[in-house]
Amino acid sequence: MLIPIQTVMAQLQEKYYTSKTLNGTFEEVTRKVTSVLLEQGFGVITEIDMDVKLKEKLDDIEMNPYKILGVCDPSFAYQSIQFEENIGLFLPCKVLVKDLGNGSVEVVMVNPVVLMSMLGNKDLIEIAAKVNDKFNAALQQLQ
Amino acid sequence: MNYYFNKTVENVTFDEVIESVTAALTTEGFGVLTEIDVKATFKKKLDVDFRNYRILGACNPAFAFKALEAEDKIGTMLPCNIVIHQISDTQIEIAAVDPVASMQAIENNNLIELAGEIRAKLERVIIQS
Repeated sequence: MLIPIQTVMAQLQEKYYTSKTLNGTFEEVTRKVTSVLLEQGFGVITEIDMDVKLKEKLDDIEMNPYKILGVCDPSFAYQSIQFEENIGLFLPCKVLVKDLGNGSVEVVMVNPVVLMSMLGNKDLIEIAAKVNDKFNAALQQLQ
Repeated sequence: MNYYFNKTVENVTFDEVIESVTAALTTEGFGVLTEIDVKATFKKKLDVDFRNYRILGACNPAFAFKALEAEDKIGTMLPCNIVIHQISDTQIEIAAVDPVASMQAIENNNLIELAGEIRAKLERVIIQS
């Protein structure tokens, strides 16, 4: 049974993401994020330039560079899939690189604990917490 | 309430199912932006044998743009995933994430209506596949 997310979030006091804003170019920050994630064991397996994709399809829109990276630690993914066969619906974990303009770039990492708490599976929450610790460590390393 | 909707198809090949899901997605205005072959990835990275398991990342550009305008960090939940996996020799499960369930993690009323529209489309994709 699905646990109401409001209950989960009230207990957790957590947002669905963590973020940090850096100075630098979009490309520099993307390289740095990829590198700190790799140090924590996460490979980038998908990459979407959302601004480019949307501008191709929609007329007259304005959007700053916005990259969605799909990152995955294969051993965590493998463990998760044993506990919940359709967990692939939430994989890979998403990390955003957003150009805010004026030389500022925001890095946003999803907090997997919030979504996994909604599923109410203790084993998955434990894995999500480990992933989240690694994401926070990566974010701290990012300068 | 569950976090996805699904169905099981029988006596079709895995590739045929991928094709029919992709076609149904196109009909509903979704492009497939990412495709992950989980079986191949586990083999390569962990050297384990796994069943056929594919993750498609689907996106409807107009809806995605509206969602991003309403919530700038919604990209952490995009694209919408569809999982196709072999559950027995003759059976394949198709499951799509329910965006209404995952949007609940974000307290933003402007997203709820959008998520409802996307849900209706993804439900039709599952029915048509």
